[in-house]
Amino acid sequence: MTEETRHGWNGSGCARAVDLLPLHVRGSISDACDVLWLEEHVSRCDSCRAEAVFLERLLSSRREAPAGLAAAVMARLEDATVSMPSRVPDAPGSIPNRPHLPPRRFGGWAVSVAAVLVLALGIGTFWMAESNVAGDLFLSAFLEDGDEPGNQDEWMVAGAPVLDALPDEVLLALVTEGAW
Amino acid sequence: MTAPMQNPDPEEDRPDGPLVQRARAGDRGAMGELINRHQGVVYRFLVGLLGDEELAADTTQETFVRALGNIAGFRGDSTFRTWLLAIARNEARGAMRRRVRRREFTLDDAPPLQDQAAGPEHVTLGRAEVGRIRTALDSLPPKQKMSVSLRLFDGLSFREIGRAIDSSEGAARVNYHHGIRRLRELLDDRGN
Ligand SMILES: [Zn+2]
Repeated sequence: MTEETRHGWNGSGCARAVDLLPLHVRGSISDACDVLWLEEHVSRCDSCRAEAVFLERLLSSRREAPAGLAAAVMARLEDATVSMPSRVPDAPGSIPNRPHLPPRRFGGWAVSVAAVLVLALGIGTFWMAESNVAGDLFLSAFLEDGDEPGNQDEWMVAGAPVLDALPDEVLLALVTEGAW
Repeated sequence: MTAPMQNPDPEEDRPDGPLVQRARAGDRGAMGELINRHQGVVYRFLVGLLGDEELAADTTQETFVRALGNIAGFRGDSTFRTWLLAIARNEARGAMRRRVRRREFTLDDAPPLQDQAAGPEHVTLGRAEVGRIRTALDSLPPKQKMSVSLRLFDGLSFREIGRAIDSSEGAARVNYHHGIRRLRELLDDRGN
């Protein structure tokens, strides 16, 4: 049984079917019993059959990563003088140190702590001119992870600010076109 | 229903462990294989987060450079994919920060989400229809958008989606179903 069905449902087969259908239309259910059950259900359920057709339609719009990405990454790894981190996090939420890399199109992280803070204040001010709420959120969230001097090791790693303290909502708001 | 399409990611059910071990030992071939396995999910995840294909492509590259440059730090407490998505999230934050900084100095407009609806995978659906679906998907609230994408396009479990979007497994499932329902509303006027 797959993870999805092992802890499965007791109620309507449709609930289980609609959970499994996105995996089925992309051909990634490995358990043959699940596939047989699902196909049997779909064959007699108009609603789930329509769902399957809709999902197949959506699936055809899947974006693909640009060609040549692997080669570009490998070339950069070859060029980089990788500095291995002294402490190496492993949990999914923790972020490894940044290796020393050639600058990218937006410039590298060759920004001092002070400069980052000055920028944050400037950005916050600019942002608040457009949206007080977003500005407050952005500024407080940004400063939250950096305004304690003793905390620098926690939020600056290998010259890169650790940005996890900034809520997704704030970051997403920053790049939403309407917000500009 | 029609027969299931060929698995777009035939390697995904193979464990990454052996490749990660080889990559940690400096095996470039293993690193390349890890990129090939996971570049799609990372790229799509970042398109969902950033709303910009070009920026997502750059950030995908940054994510892999950073992950593989520090692969000694991955000890397998989570799946390699979950670890990658956590790194991608942080890289996305950095990319957003740089964009804000650039905006501060240049006041240029954020580039619109580009429609790159070209390529062999779109032959059957047609470019206009692909663009229409992507526009609808891009208009969903972020967690719905990413739950639909990670589930349908990349086959993640709801548990793994929850970790990627910083939600519970149940919330990931609800976001997926709400997202699909909203897409039906947005797209059903042309029928199936
Ligand atoms: Zn049904």
